[in-house]
Amino acid sequence: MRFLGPRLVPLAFTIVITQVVLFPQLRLLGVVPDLGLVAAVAVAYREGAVVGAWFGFATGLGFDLFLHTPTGLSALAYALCAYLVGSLERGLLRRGRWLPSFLGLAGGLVGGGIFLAVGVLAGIDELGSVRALSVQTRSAIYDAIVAPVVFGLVALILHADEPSWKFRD
Amino acid sequence: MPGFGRDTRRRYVLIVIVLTSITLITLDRRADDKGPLGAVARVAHRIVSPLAAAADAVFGPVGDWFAGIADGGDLRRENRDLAERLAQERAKNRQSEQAIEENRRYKALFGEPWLDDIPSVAAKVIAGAPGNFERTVVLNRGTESGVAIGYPVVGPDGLVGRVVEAWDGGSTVLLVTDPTFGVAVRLTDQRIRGPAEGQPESGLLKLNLTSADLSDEQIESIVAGDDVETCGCDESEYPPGIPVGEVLRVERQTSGISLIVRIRPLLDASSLENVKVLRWRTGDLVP
Repeated sequence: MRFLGPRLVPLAFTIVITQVVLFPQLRLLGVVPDLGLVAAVAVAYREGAVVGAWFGFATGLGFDLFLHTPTGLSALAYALCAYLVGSLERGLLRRGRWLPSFLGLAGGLVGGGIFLAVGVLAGIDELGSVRALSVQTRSAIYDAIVAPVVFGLVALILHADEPSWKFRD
Repeated sequence: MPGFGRDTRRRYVLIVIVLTSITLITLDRRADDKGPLGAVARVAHRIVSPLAAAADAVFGPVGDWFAGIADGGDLRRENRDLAERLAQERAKNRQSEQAIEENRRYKALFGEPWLDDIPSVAAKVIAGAPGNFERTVVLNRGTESGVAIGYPVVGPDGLVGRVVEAWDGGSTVLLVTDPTFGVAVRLTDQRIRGPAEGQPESGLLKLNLTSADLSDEQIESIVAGDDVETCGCDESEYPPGIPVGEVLRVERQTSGISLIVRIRPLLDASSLENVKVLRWRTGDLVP
Protein backbone atom coordinates (compact mmCIF):
# COMPACT_ATOMS: atom_id res chain seq x y z
CA MET A 1 0.00 0.00 0.00
CA ARG A 2 1.41 3.36 -1.03
CA PHE A 3 1.71 6.20 1.44
CA LEU A 4 -0.11 9.05 -0.28
CA GLY A 5 -0.05 11.68 2.48
CA PRO A 6 2.76 13.83 1.01
CA ARG A 7 0.78 14.08 -2.22
CA LEU A 8 -2.77 14.34 -0.89
CA VAL A 9 -2.23 16.92 1.88
CA PRO A 10 -0.87 19.65 -0.45
CA LEU A 11 -3.56 18.74 -2.98
CA ALA A 12 -6.32 19.14 -0.37
CA PHE A 13 -4.84 22.45 0.79
CA THR A 14 -4.63 23.74 -2.80
CA ILE A 15 -8.20 22.67 -3.56
CA VAL A 16 -9.63 24.43 -0.49
CA ILE A 17 -7.67 27.65 -1.10
CA THR A 18 -8.68 27.70 -4.76
CA GLN A 19 -12.32 27.14 -3.83
CA VAL A 20 -12.36 29.91 -1.23
CA VAL A 21 -10.17 32.49 -2.97
CA LEU A 22 -10.76 32.07 -6.69
CA PHE A 23 -14.19 30.62 -7.32
CA PRO A 24 -16.29 33.28 -5.55
CA GLN A 25 -15.04 35.47 -8.43
CA LEU A 26 -15.99 32.87 -11.03
CA ARG A 27 -19.64 32.16 -10.34
CA LEU A 28 -21.50 30.51 -13.18
CA LEU A 29 -25.33 30.50 -13.19
CA GLY A 30 -25.03 32.18 -9.80
CA VAL A 31 -23.23 29.27 -8.12
CA VAL A 32 -19.75 27.99 -7.35
CA PRO A 33 -18.66 24.37 -7.93
CA ASP A 34 -17.78 21.97 -5.11
CA LEU A 35 -14.12 21.54 -6.02
CA GLY A 36 -13.40 19.48 -2.91
CA LEU A 37 -16.22 17.11 -3.75
CA VAL A 38 -15.06 16.63 -7.33
CA ALA A 39 -11.48 16.10 -6.16
CA ALA A 40 -12.64 13.57 -3.56
CA VAL A 41 -14.57 11.69 -6.23
CA ALA A 42 -11.48 11.70 -8.46
CA VAL A 43 -9.28 10.42 -5.63
CA ALA A 44 -11.85 7.75 -4.71
CA TYR A 45 -12.06 6.66 -8.33
CA ARG A 46 -8.31 6.17 -8.50
CA GLU A 47 -7.42 5.12 -4.96
CA GLY A 48 -10.57 3.50 -3.62
CA ALA A 49 -13.24 4.18 -1.03
CA VAL A 50 -11.09 4.59 2.08
CA VAL A 51 -8.56 7.05 0.67
CA GLY A 52 -11.32 8.93 -1.14
CA ALA A 53 -13.45 9.19 2.00
CA TRP A 54 -10.57 10.54 4.09
CA PHE A 55 -9.62 13.00 1.36
CA GLY A 56 -13.26 14.13 1.03
CA PHE A 57 -13.51 14.52 4.78
CA ALA A 58 -10.36 16.68 4.85
CA THR A 59 -11.34 18.96 1.94
CA GLY A 60 -14.91 19.24 3.21
CA LEU A 61 -13.72 20.14 6.69
CA GLY A 62 -11.35 22.75 5.28
CA PHE A 63 -14.18 24.27 3.24
CA ASP A 64 -16.55 24.17 6.22
CA LEU A 65 -14.27 26.57 8.09
CA PHE A 66 -15.30 29.29 5.64
CA LEU A 67 -19.04 28.55 5.54
CA HIS A 68 -21.91 29.41 7.82
CA THR A 69 -23.41 25.98 7.58
CA PRO A 70 -22.27 23.77 10.51
CA THR A 71 -18.67 22.60 10.49
CA GLY A 72 -18.64 18.94 9.49
CA LEU A 73 -21.58 19.13 7.07
CA SER A 74 -19.54 19.39 3.87
CA ALA A 75 -16.98 16.97 5.34
CA LEU A 76 -19.68 14.34 5.84
CA ALA A 77 -21.25 14.89 2.41
CA TYR A 78 -17.93 14.78 0.54
CA ALA A 79 -16.70 11.73 2.46
CA LEU A 80 -19.89 9.71 1.93
CA CYS A 81 -20.03 10.59 -1.75
CA ALA A 82 -16.37 9.64 -2.28
CA TYR A 83 -16.93 6.41 -0.35
CA LEU A 84 -19.83 5.51 -2.65
CA VAL A 85 -17.81 6.17 -5.80
CA GLY A 86 -14.83 4.25 -4.43
CA SER A 87 -17.07 1.31 -3.57
CA LEU A 88 -18.43 0.91 -7.09
CA GLU A 89 -17.57 -2.41 -8.64
CA ARG A 90 -14.63 -2.39 -10.98
CA GLY A 91 -15.86 -2.31 -14.55
CA LEU A 92 -19.14 -0.67 -13.67
CA LEU A 93 -17.63 2.61 -14.76
CA ARG A 94 -15.94 2.32 -18.11
CA ARG A 95 -13.02 4.46 -19.02
CA GLY A 96 -14.09 7.16 -21.38
CA ARG A 97 -13.74 10.73 -22.38
CA TRP A 98 -16.92 11.79 -20.60
CA LEU A 99 -16.33 9.79 -17.44
CA PRO A 100 -14.88 12.68 -15.38
CA SER A 101 -17.78 14.95 -16.29
CA PHE A 102 -20.30 12.19 -15.60
CA LEU A 103 -18.73 11.46 -12.21
CA GLY A 104 -18.54 15.19 -11.46
CA LEU A 105 -22.25 15.61 -12.22
CA ALA A 106 -23.31 12.46 -10.36
CA GLY A 107 -21.03 13.29 -7.43
CA GLY A 108 -22.39 16.82 -7.32
CA LEU A 109 -25.98 15.59 -7.25
CA VAL A 110 -25.38 12.80 -4.71
CA GLY A 111 -23.00 14.78 -2.49
CA GLY A 112 -25.24 17.83 -2.72
CA GLY A 113 -28.27 15.71 -1.85
CA ILE A 114 -26.50 14.38 1.24
CA PHE A 115 -25.48 17.94 2.18
CA LEU A 116 -29.06 19.20 1.92
CA ALA A 117 -30.60 16.20 3.69
CA VAL A 118 -28.20 16.26 6.64
CA GLY A 119 -28.45 20.05 6.78
CA VAL A 120 -32.23 19.87 7.13
CA LEU A 121 -31.83 17.20 9.85
CA ALA A 122 -29.39 19.57 11.60
CA GLY A 123 -32.10 22.22 11.67
CA ILE A 124 -31.19 24.42 8.70
CA ASP A 125 -34.65 24.74 7.19
CA GLU A 126 -33.64 26.76 4.13
CA LEU A 127 -31.65 23.78 2.84
CA GLY A 128 -34.97 22.01 2.34
CA SER A 129 -36.33 24.65 -0.02
CA VAL A 130 -36.92 24.37 -3.75
CA ARG A 131 -34.34 27.09 -4.23
CA ALA A 132 -31.72 24.98 -2.45
CA LEU A 133 -32.43 22.08 -4.81
CA SER A 134 -32.12 24.39 -7.78
CA VAL A 135 -28.83 25.81 -6.49
CA GLN A 136 -27.43 22.33 -5.88
CA THR A 137 -28.42 21.15 -9.35
CA ARG A 138 -26.70 24.13 -10.96
CA SER A 139 -23.66 23.52 -8.79
CA ALA A 140 -23.56 19.88 -9.95
CA ILE A 141 -23.56 21.08 -13.57
CA TYR A 142 -20.62 23.35 -12.74
CA ASP A 143 -18.96 20.34 -11.06
CA ALA A 144 -19.29 18.45 -14.34
CA ILE A 145 -17.63 21.33 -16.20
CA VAL A 146 -14.60 21.55 -13.90
CA ALA A 147 -14.32 17.76 -13.39
CA PRO A 148 -12.03 17.02 -16.38
CA VAL A 149 -9.49 19.55 -15.08
CA VAL A 150 -9.72 18.26 -11.51
CA PHE A 151 -9.49 14.60 -12.57
CA GLY A 152 -6.47 15.49 -14.71
CA LEU A 153 -4.81 17.26 -11.79
CA VAL A 154 -5.48 14.33 -9.46
CA ALA A 155 -4.13 11.88 -12.04
CA LEU A 156 -1.05 14.01 -12.52
CA ILE A 157 -0.32 14.23 -8.80
CA LEU A 158 -1.17 10.67 -7.78
CA HIS A 159 -0.22 8.56 -10.74
CA ALA A 160 2.20 10.40 -12.93
CA ASP A 161 3.88 7.07 -13.67
CA GLU A 162 0.69 5.08 -14.40
CA PRO A 163 -1.90 5.07 -17.20
CA SER A 164 -4.91 7.34 -16.68
CA TRP A 165 -8.28 6.18 -15.32
CA LYS A 166 -6.99 2.97 -13.82
CA PHE A 167 -8.73 1.49 -10.80
CA ARG A 168 -6.76 0.71 -7.71
CA ASP A 169 -6.09 -3.01 -7.12
CA MET B 1 -9.60 -13.83 4.22
CA PRO B 2 -8.09 -10.63 2.87
CA GLY B 3 -11.38 -9.53 1.29
CA PHE B 4 -13.21 -9.73 4.60
CA GLY B 5 -10.44 -7.73 6.32
CA ARG B 6 -10.54 -5.00 3.71
CA ASP B 7 -14.32 -4.68 3.88
CA THR B 8 -14.20 -4.52 7.67
CA ARG B 9 -11.58 -1.78 7.56
CA ARG B 10 -13.62 0.16 5.04
CA ARG B 11 -16.70 0.00 7.21
CA TYR B 12 -14.67 0.98 10.25
CA VAL B 13 -13.30 4.05 8.44
CA LEU B 14 -16.78 5.01 7.28
CA ILE B 15 -18.19 4.75 10.81
CA VAL B 16 -15.32 6.84 12.24
CA ILE B 17 -15.83 9.56 9.62
CA VAL B 18 -19.61 9.65 10.06
CA LEU B 19 -19.39 9.81 13.86
CA THR B 20 -16.67 12.48 13.75
CA SER B 21 -18.72 14.59 11.34
CA ILE B 22 -21.89 14.30 13.41
CA THR B 23 -19.93 15.25 16.54
CA LEU B 24 -18.49 18.31 14.77
CA ILE B 25 -21.91 19.36 13.46
CA THR B 26 -23.40 19.04 16.94
CA LEU B 27 -20.56 20.97 18.60
CA ASP B 28 -20.77 23.72 16.00
CA ARG B 29 -24.54 24.08 16.35
CA ARG B 30 -24.26 24.33 20.13
CA ALA B 31 -21.21 26.59 20.42
CA ASP B 32 -21.92 28.80 17.38
CA ASP B 33 -18.77 30.87 16.68
CA LYS B 34 -17.60 30.99 20.27
CA GLY B 35 -16.16 27.47 20.58
CA PRO B 36 -12.82 26.04 19.47
CA LEU B 37 -14.18 25.45 15.96
CA GLY B 38 -14.95 29.15 15.68
CA ALA B 39 -11.39 29.97 16.76
CA VAL B 40 -9.96 27.63 14.11
CA ALA B 41 -12.23 29.24 11.50
CA ARG B 42 -11.00 32.73 12.46
CA VAL B 43 -7.39 31.60 12.03
CA ALA B 44 -8.25 30.13 8.63
CA HIS B 45 -9.95 33.39 7.60
CA ARG B 46 -6.96 35.38 8.77
CA ILE B 47 -4.62 33.30 6.63
CA VAL B 48 -6.80 33.42 3.53
CA SER B 49 -7.95 37.07 3.68
CA PRO B 50 -4.83 38.56 2.04
CA LEU B 51 -5.12 35.99 -0.75
CA ALA B 52 -8.80 36.84 -1.21
CA ALA B 53 -7.98 40.55 -1.46
CA ALA B 54 -5.30 39.84 -4.06
CA ALA B 55 -7.67 37.55 -6.00
CA ASP B 56 -10.33 40.28 -5.96
CA ALA B 57 -7.87 42.75 -7.46
CA VAL B 58 -6.64 40.33 -10.13
CA PHE B 59 -9.73 38.28 -10.96
CA GLY B 60 -12.49 40.80 -10.17
CA PRO B 61 -12.76 42.09 -13.75
CA VAL B 62 -12.48 38.54 -15.09
CA GLY B 63 -15.26 37.49 -12.72
CA ASP B 64 -17.51 40.33 -13.95
CA TRP B 65 -16.92 39.23 -17.52
CA PHE B 66 -17.51 35.59 -16.57
CA ALA B 67 -20.76 36.47 -14.83
CA GLY B 68 -21.80 38.58 -17.78
CA ILE B 69 -21.58 35.60 -20.13
CA ALA B 70 -23.65 33.33 -17.93
CA ASP B 71 -26.08 35.90 -16.64
CA GLY B 72 -26.76 37.70 -19.91
CA GLY B 73 -30.39 36.53 -19.91
CA ASP B 74 -30.87 37.59 -16.29
CA LEU B 75 -29.35 41.00 -16.99
CA ARG B 76 -31.64 41.55 -19.94
CA ARG B 77 -34.63 40.50 -17.81
CA GLU B 78 -33.49 42.72 -14.96
CA ASN B 79 -32.98 45.57 -17.39
CA ARG B 80 -36.53 45.13 -18.67
CA ASP B 81 -37.89 45.06 -15.11
CA LEU B 82 -35.94 48.18 -14.19
CA ALA B 83 -37.13 50.00 -17.29
CA GLU B 84 -40.70 49.06 -16.43
CA ARG B 85 -40.28 50.26 -12.87
CA LEU B 86 -38.71 53.47 -14.08
CA ALA B 87 -41.70 54.13 -16.33
CA GLN B 88 -44.08 53.49 -13.43
CA GLU B 89 -42.12 55.84 -11.21
CA ARG B 90 -42.14 58.55 -13.86
CA ALA B 91 -45.89 58.22 -14.27
CA LYS B 92 -46.37 58.37 -10.53
CA ASN B 93 -44.18 61.44 -10.27
CA ARG B 94 -46.13 63.24 -12.95
CA GLN B 95 -49.47 62.41 -11.39
CA SER B 96 -48.81 62.97 -7.75
CA GLU B 97 -47.20 65.75 -5.78
CA GLN B 98 -47.21 63.43 -2.85
CA ALA B 99 -45.01 60.95 -4.68
CA ILE B 100 -42.53 63.72 -5.42
CA GLU B 101 -42.48 64.67 -1.76
CA GLU B 102 -41.92 61.05 -0.77
CA ASN B 103 -39.07 60.87 -3.22
CA ARG B 104 -37.47 63.93 -1.64
CA ARG B 105 -37.85 62.47 1.81
CA TYR B 106 -36.38 59.19 0.65
CA LYS B 107 -33.31 60.93 -0.74
CA ALA B 108 -33.02 63.04 2.36
CA LEU B 109 -32.70 59.90 4.45
CA PHE B 110 -29.22 59.30 3.04
CA GLY B 111 -28.09 62.61 4.40
CA GLU B 112 -29.51 62.22 7.90
CA PRO B 113 -26.96 63.45 10.38
CA TRP B 114 -27.21 60.49 12.74
CA LEU B 115 -25.56 58.08 10.26
CA ASP B 116 -22.49 60.27 10.16
CA ASP B 117 -22.52 60.76 13.90
CA ILE B 118 -22.35 57.08 14.78
CA PRO B 119 -18.69 55.98 14.92
CA SER B 120 -18.04 53.89 11.83
CA VAL B 121 -15.35 52.05 9.91
CA ALA B 122 -15.12 52.37 6.13
CA ALA B 123 -14.47 49.01 4.49
CA LYS B 124 -14.17 47.45 1.06
CA VAL B 125 -15.85 44.26 -0.10
CA ILE B 126 -13.08 41.86 -1.12
CA ALA B 127 -14.98 38.62 -1.71
CA GLY B 128 -18.41 37.12 -2.02
CA ALA B 129 -19.68 34.00 -0.29
CA PRO B 130 -17.41 30.98 -0.85
CA GLY B 131 -20.37 28.60 -0.86
CA ASN B 132 -23.80 28.36 -2.44
CA PHE B 133 -26.05 28.52 0.59
CA GLU B 134 -25.28 31.77 2.31
CA ARG B 135 -25.55 35.36 1.21
CA THR B 136 -22.48 36.97 2.71
CA VAL B 137 -19.59 39.22 1.71
CA VAL B 138 -16.10 39.49 3.16
CA LEU B 139 -14.76 42.93 4.16
CA ASN B 140 -11.13 44.01 4.36
CA ARG B 141 -11.55 45.44 7.88
CA GLY B 142 -11.80 43.38 11.04
CA THR B 143 -11.01 43.42 14.74
CA GLU B 144 -7.85 45.49 14.15
CA SER B 145 -10.15 48.38 13.09
CA GLY B 146 -12.67 47.89 15.86
CA VAL B 147 -15.13 45.80 13.85
CA ALA B 148 -17.01 43.31 16.03
CA ILE B 149 -19.72 40.70 15.63
CA GLY B 150 -23.21 42.17 15.56
CA TYR B 151 -22.33 45.61 14.15
CA PRO B 152 -24.72 46.89 11.44
CA VAL B 153 -23.31 47.52 7.97
CA VAL B 154 -24.69 50.16 5.60
CA GLY B 155 -23.98 50.99 1.96
CA PRO B 156 -24.99 53.64 -0.56
CA ASP B 157 -28.50 52.14 -0.87
CA GLY B 158 -29.12 51.63 2.84
CA LEU B 159 -28.90 48.55 5.06
CA VAL B 160 -26.40 45.94 3.86
CA GLY B 161 -26.47 43.49 6.77
CA ARG B 162 -24.64 42.77 9.99
CA VAL B 163 -21.21 41.44 10.93
CA VAL B 164 -21.37 37.74 11.82
CA GLU B 165 -17.64 36.97 11.94
CA ALA B 166 -14.65 39.19 12.64
CA TRP B 167 -10.96 38.48 12.78
CA ASP B 168 -7.72 40.41 12.55
CA GLY B 169 -7.76 41.70 8.97
CA GLY B 170 -11.32 41.04 7.89
CA SER B 171 -14.93 40.28 8.68
CA THR B 172 -17.93 38.51 7.20
CA VAL B 173 -21.25 40.30 6.73
CA LEU B 174 -24.56 38.44 6.55
CA LEU B 175 -26.55 40.25 3.87
CA VAL B 176 -30.10 41.52 4.27
CA THR B 177 -31.10 39.11 1.47
CA ASP B 178 -30.04 35.98 3.42
CA PRO B 179 -32.92 33.70 4.46
CA THR B 180 -31.73 33.77 8.08
CA PHE B 181 -31.66 37.56 8.26
CA GLY B 182 -34.13 39.40 10.47
CA VAL B 183 -34.64 43.10 11.22
CA ALA B 184 -37.26 45.20 13.00
CA VAL B 185 -38.68 47.63 10.41
CA ARG B 186 -41.31 50.31 10.00
CA LEU B 187 -43.18 51.50 6.96
CA THR B 188 -41.98 55.07 6.70
CA ASP B 189 -45.29 56.70 5.84
CA GLN B 190 -47.71 54.61 7.89
CA ARG B 191 -45.46 54.24 10.95
CA ILE B 192 -46.40 50.57 11.07
CA ARG B 193 -43.77 48.45 12.82
CA GLY B 194 -42.92 44.78 12.84
CA PRO B 195 -40.20 42.15 12.44
CA ALA B 196 -39.16 41.40 8.86
CA GLU B 197 -37.58 38.02 8.09
CA GLY B 198 -35.58 36.70 5.14
CA GLN B 199 -37.13 34.18 2.79
CA PRO B 200 -35.31 31.16 1.35
CA GLU B 201 -36.84 31.23 -2.12
CA SER B 202 -36.89 34.82 -3.18
CA GLY B 203 -34.34 37.01 -1.38
CA LEU B 204 -37.27 39.16 -0.25
CA LEU B 205 -38.13 40.10 3.32
CA LYS B 206 -41.48 39.14 4.81
CA LEU B 207 -43.25 41.38 7.30
CA ASN B 208 -46.10 39.70 9.19
CA LEU B 209 -48.72 42.08 10.51
CA THR B 210 -51.84 41.39 12.54
CA SER B 211 -54.76 43.30 11.14
CA ALA B 212 -56.33 43.55 14.61
CA ASP B 213 -53.54 45.97 15.56
CA LEU B 214 -54.12 48.19 12.53
CA SER B 215 -56.91 50.44 11.46
CA ASP B 216 -58.63 49.81 8.12
CA GLU B 217 -57.21 53.09 6.95
CA GLN B 218 -53.66 51.98 7.78
CA ILE B 219 -54.14 48.65 6.03
CA GLU B 220 -55.53 50.26 2.90
CA SER B 221 -52.72 52.80 2.84
CA ILE B 222 -49.98 50.17 2.40
CA VAL B 223 -49.17 49.99 -1.29
CA ALA B 224 -46.36 48.75 -3.49
CA GLY B 225 -43.44 51.15 -3.55
CA ASP B 226 -43.80 52.32 0.06
CA ASP B 227 -40.46 52.89 1.77
CA VAL B 228 -39.32 50.60 4.57
CA GLU B 229 -36.61 51.48 7.09
CA THR B 230 -35.18 50.13 10.33
CA CYS B 231 -37.29 51.12 13.32
CA GLY B 232 -34.70 50.72 16.07
CA CYS B 233 -37.44 49.51 18.37
CA ASP B 234 -37.72 46.61 20.83
CA GLU B 235 -34.04 45.81 21.39
CA SER B 236 -33.38 46.03 17.66
CA GLU B 237 -29.84 45.29 16.48
CA TYR B 238 -30.00 48.28 14.13
CA PRO B 239 -30.32 52.02 14.75
CA PRO B 240 -33.52 53.64 13.44
CA GLY B 241 -33.92 55.25 10.05
CA ILE B 242 -31.70 53.13 7.81
CA PRO B 243 -33.46 52.49 4.47
CA VAL B 244 -34.10 48.75 4.08
CA GLY B 245 -36.32 48.33 1.02
CA GLU B 246 -39.65 49.02 -0.54
CA VAL B 247 -42.98 47.24 -0.39
CA LEU B 248 -43.33 44.85 -3.31
CA ARG B 249 -46.84 43.64 -2.57
CA VAL B 250 -49.33 43.13 0.25
CA GLU B 251 -50.98 39.75 0.73
CA ARG B 252 -54.14 39.63 2.78
CA GLN B 253 -54.74 36.25 4.36
CA THR B 254 -58.12 34.64 3.74
CA SER B 255 -58.77 34.54 7.47
CA GLY B 256 -58.57 38.30 7.45
CA ILE B 257 -56.61 38.26 10.68
CA SER B 258 -53.16 38.87 9.29
CA LEU B 259 -51.51 40.37 6.30
CA ILE B 260 -48.09 39.74 4.84
CA VAL B 261 -46.04 42.57 3.38
CA ARG B 262 -43.35 41.44 0.92
CA ILE B 263 -40.38 43.79 0.93
CA ARG B 264 -37.78 44.05 -1.80
CA PRO B 265 -34.43 45.00 -0.21
CA LEU B 266 -32.67 48.00 -1.73
CA LEU B 267 -29.35 46.16 -1.54
CA ASP B 268 -27.73 45.19 -4.83
CA ALA B 269 -25.04 42.79 -3.65
CA SER B 270 -23.55 42.33 -7.11
CA SER B 271 -22.44 45.96 -7.30
CA LEU B 272 -21.51 46.41 -3.66
CA GLU B 273 -17.97 47.72 -3.25
CA ASN B 274 -17.67 50.14 -0.34
CA VAL B 275 -19.57 50.00 2.94
CA LYS B 276 -19.58 51.47 6.41
CA VAL B 277 -19.57 49.32 9.53
CA LEU B 278 -21.47 51.18 12.26
CA ARG B 279 -19.91 50.66 15.67
CA TRP B 280 -23.32 50.55 17.25
CA ARG B 281 -24.81 48.08 19.72
CA THR B 282 -28.36 47.42 20.85
CA GLY B 283 -29.23 49.99 23.48
CA ASP B 284 -26.69 52.59 22.32
CA LEU B 285 -28.17 56.07 22.10
CA VAL B 286 -28.61 57.49 18.63
CA PRO B 287 -26.58 60.74 18.49
